[in-house]
Amino acid sequence: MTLVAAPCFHCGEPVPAGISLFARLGGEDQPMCCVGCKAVAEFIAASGLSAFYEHRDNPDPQFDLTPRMGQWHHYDADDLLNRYVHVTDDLAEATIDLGGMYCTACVWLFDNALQKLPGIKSVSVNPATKRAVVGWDRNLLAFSELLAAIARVGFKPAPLAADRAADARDAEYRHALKRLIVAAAAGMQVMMFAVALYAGEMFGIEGGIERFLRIISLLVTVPIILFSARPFFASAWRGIRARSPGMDLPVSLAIGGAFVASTYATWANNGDIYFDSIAMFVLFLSAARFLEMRARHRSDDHAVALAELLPDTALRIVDGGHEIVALDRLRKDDVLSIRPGDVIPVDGDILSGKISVDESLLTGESMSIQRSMGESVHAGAMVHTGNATVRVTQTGASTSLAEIGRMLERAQADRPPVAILADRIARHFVTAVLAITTMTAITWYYIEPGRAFETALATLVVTCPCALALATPAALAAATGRLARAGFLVVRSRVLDVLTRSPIIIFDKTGTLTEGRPRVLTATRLLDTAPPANQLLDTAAAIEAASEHVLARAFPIQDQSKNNTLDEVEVVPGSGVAATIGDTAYRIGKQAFVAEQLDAYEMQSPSGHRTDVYLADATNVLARFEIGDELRADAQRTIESLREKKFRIMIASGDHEAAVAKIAARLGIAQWRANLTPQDKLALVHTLREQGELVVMVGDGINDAPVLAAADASVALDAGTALARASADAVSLGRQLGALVTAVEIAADTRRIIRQNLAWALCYNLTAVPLAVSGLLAPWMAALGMSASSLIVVLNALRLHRSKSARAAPEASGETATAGVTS
Amino acid sequence: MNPELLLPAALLAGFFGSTHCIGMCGAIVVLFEQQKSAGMRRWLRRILYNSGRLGFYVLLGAIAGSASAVIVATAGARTTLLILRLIAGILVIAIGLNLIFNWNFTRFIENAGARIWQRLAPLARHVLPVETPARALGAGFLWGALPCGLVYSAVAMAATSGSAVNGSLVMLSFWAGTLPALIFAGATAARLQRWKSMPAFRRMAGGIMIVLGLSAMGPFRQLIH
Repeated sequence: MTLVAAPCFHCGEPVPAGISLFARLGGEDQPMCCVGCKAVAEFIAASGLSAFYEHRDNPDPQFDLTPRMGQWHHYDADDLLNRYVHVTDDLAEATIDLGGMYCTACVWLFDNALQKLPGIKSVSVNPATKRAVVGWDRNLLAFSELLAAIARVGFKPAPLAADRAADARDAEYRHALKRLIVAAAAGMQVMMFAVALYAGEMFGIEGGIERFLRIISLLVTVPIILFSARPFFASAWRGIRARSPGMDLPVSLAIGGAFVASTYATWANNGDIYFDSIAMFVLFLSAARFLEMRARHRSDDHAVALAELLPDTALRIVDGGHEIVALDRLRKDDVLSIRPGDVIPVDGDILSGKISVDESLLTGESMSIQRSMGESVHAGAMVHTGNATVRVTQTGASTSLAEIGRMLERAQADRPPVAILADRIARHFVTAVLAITTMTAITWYYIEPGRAFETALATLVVTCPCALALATPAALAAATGRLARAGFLVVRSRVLDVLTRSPIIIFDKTGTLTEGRPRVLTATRLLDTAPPANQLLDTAAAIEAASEHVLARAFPIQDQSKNNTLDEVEVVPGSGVAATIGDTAYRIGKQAFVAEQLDAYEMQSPSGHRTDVYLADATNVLARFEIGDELRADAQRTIESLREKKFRIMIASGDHEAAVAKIAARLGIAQWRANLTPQDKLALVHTLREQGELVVMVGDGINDAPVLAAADASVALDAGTALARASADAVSLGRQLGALVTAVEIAADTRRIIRQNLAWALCYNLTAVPLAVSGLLAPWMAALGMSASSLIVVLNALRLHRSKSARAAPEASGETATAGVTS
Repeated sequence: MNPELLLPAALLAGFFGSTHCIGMCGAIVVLFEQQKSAGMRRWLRRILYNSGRLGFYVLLGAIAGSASAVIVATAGARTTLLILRLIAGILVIAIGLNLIFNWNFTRFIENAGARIWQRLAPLARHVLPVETPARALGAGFLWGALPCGLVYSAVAMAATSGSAVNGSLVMLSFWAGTLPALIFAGATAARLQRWKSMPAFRRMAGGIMIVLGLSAMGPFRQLIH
C-alpha cells in the first residue's frame, strides 16, 4: 500500500533512499537512480535521441505523489498539503521525519533553526523517533519553505503521512541491522586475530607473522570504523557544532583515539594495539542501540498499526453509481458507500443505514458499537455488519485517527522534568568524563608511561553516561506505548508522575462516571396550550444542536426537513441555550436558567438522579425533558480499586444536588459537590492546590478545559470527535473507566523502573570510575562493562511492555495486550 | 593467484549482479538497434557490441591485475599474496551481502567513474550511428566504460588477482555472467531478469559468495599454528 518514491526516469527502478541525482532532459530535471543511468540518459540526450523516451514502452506507470529532496514546492499543491498537513484556521501542523538526527544536540540545533523562521508557533522534536511535530502560521510560511529551511540546517526532512511512518521505521531498522552485521562479522575476525596474538605473546610467535596479524587486524577494523561506528562520530560532531557535547563525544574519542594509536603502533611495529577493544566496543554499543531502537519501534507499534489500518481507496457514490477513488482524492462532503468488512477511511456522518463497528484500535475497546443515521464514524473503525452511506467530514491529516497519531508523537516528544534533569546531569558528566580522563592520563604518565594511554582509554570508555541518558526516556517510551495499546494516550508524561504521588482525583460527574450518552427518556408537556410533546422535542432538539454539552447529545439529531432555523443563538456554558426560531424566543437548559426571565414560575423539585432539561418560551415553561444517564458499567469497580490504592476521590459536578448525591452514594464517594459552574470548579481546584494537594481532574475534556488546565494533571475521558480540542494531559479513548486504573498501575511501574534505572546507572558509573582510573580495567573490559550497563537499562525498561494491569477491564486489556505482543 | 575463488565469484556477481542491468543497459541495446543497421545482421551486431564491452573489461582487468602484480613484486610475495587473498575474500563477502541486502557499497567509486565517463562520452560521435562492424565494436567498448558499480566491484576483484592474466580472466568471467541479460533483448531478457531478481535466488547466490569468501580465509589458520 505504500507509495514508492519516484522511479528512475531512465531504468524505471525505484530511486534508493539517500540518492538525489537528476539528469537534465529536454529542459526538465528527471530523477535518476544511479550515476550509470544518469550517464546513459545524458548520453542519449546528447546524441539527440531523446525521442527514445517517448517511444519506448512505459517502464512502469507507477506514479508517485511524494516529491524528492530539492523539489519542496510540490508540497504546496493541495493534494499533498491535505495529505501531510493538518490545518485549523490559520494554524497548520505537520509531522516531519528528520533524517540525519542523531542526538539531543541535534534537537537543539533544529529548534534554533526553526525559531528563526517567521510564523513558527510550536516545535516539538522527539529525539527517539527522530520526528518533529511543527505548528506554524500558514499565512506567514509555506510548507515548502519550512521543509527547505530544515534541509538547509542539514537534515533530510520527509513529511509523514500516517502511512509513511512505517517506511521510515523500516529504513532505520535496515540501516542499523547492516551496521550491526558489519560490526559483528568484522569484529569476530579481529577478535580471532587478537586471540592468536595473545597466544603468540605467551608461547612465542615469529615476528613476521605477528606483524602480519597486526596488519590484518588493522584492515578488518577499517570497515568497523568507517561504517559501523559512523553514527557515533556523526552524533559527536553535531554535538560539538551545537556546543553541547553529548555522550557520543567520549565514545568517538575513545574509538578514534584507540584506532589512531593502534594504527601508529602497527606502522611502527611497536607498541600495543587495541583493534579488538574497538571492535568489541562498537559491536556491543551498536547492539545496545539496536535494542533500544527496537524498543522504541515497539512503543510506536500502536501508531503504526493505526496508520496501516486505512485502505488505499474508497467507494464514492456519484450520480448514477459508484466509483473507486484514491483516498487522497476524497473531499469534504463526498458521499461514500460503506460495506461489511470495510475499514472506514475518513471521519464522517452516517446519512443512511446502520452499522456495527469495531473501534478497538482507536479506543482500546473490543466490543463493537452500533452506529446509525446521524451519528458520526471515525477513520480506522472496522465495519462488522451492516451497510451505510457516509458523508465525509474530515480526511487525511484532519481525521481523529491522524490526530491520535500526532498526539502519540507529541507524547513521545514530551520530556518530563526528571528526564531533563537526567539529561543535564549526563551533559555535565561528559565534561567530567573528559576531565577525569585527562587527569588519569597525566597521572599515569608519571607513574608508568607505558600504561597511561591504556588506562585513559579504559576510563574514557567506562565512564560514558550512556546508561544514565537512556534510563528515563526508554522507560517513558515503553510506558506510553503500553498505555496506548490499552486506549490511554499520555500526552504529557507529567500525568504519570502525578498519578504516583497520591493525588486527589476529582471526577466531573457528567459524562465521566456515567455513560456520557444520555437519552431523553420522557418529554412532559407542562403547559396545556403548548404544542404536542413530540413537536416540543423537535424544537428542543433544534436548539440543543447548537450546544456541545453532553446533555445536548441526548436529543435526537435534527431532521433537516423540519426547517427549524435558529437565530440569535446564545450558549451559556453550564446553564443552557437561548435561541429564536421564527418569532419565538426559546430558552432551554437548567430550570434556573430557563426561569430566569419568567416572573410567575414556581421551581419544581428535581426528579431523582435524572437530570431534567426545561424548555421555555418568553412567557411560559413549556416542557420538561427527563434525561437519563446511567453509570458506566465499570464505574463501581474502578472507584473501588482506586480507593484500594489509597487515592482520595471527589465528585465536582454541575448537576443538581439530588442527582450527584445519588451517584456518590451508589459509588460510596463521601466527598462531592453539586451545582458547580465551571468557575466554581476552577476555584475548587485552586483552593485544593493552595492547601498543598495534588489534583488530578478527570473530565470529558471539552467544556471543562480551563479546569483541566488548572489541575496538576488531567485526564479526558471519551473525548471522541473533539479530541483535537481536548486540553488534557492524557486522553482515554475508550468508554471504560478501567483505563484509569491501568494508567495508575503502569505509572507506578514506570516510576519504579525509572528509579531502578537511574540507581543502576549511577551506581555503575560511580563504581566503574575508580576501578578504571586505578588501572584495574583493560580497555576491553571497559568496553564490555559500559555497553552491558546500557543494555541492562534498555531491557529493564522493556519490561513495561509486558506489564499487566491486574484489574480493570481484564477482557479488553488482555486482548489488546496479546495483539501487541504478536505484532 | 586464487582463480578458484575469484572466477566463480565474478561469474555469479555478473549474473545476479544488478537488478537494473536490463533497465540501464538494455536501453542502450534498444537505442543502437533503433538506428539504421546498414546491412549487418542483428545477432552479428549484438555479438560485436558485447565483444567491444568485453574488450574494455579485459583492459580494465589487465590494468588492475598488473597493479597487484607490481605490489607483489615489490613487497615480497608471501605476505602480500596472503593479504591480497584476504582482501579478495572480504570483497567477495561484501558483494554477497550486497546481493542479499541490495546494498550498494560501490556508490562512491561510481561517482569517480562518472567523471571519467564524461571525458569519454564525446567519443560517441565517432561510433554513432552504428553502421559498420568496427563502429559496433567501438560502441561496445564505450558501453563498457559507463559508470557502473557492478563493474567496479569486479575490477576490485581483479585487483586482488595478483597478475594481469588473472585480472583479465576475472573480468572475462564477470562478462560471461552479464552476457545472458544483455545479448538478448526484450521479452526474453525481461523474463530472465524477473527470475533473477527473486529474493530466493539472490539470497542463494549471496550465500554462495559469502561461503566462497569465508573459505578463502581458510589458509590463515595455518599461520596461527
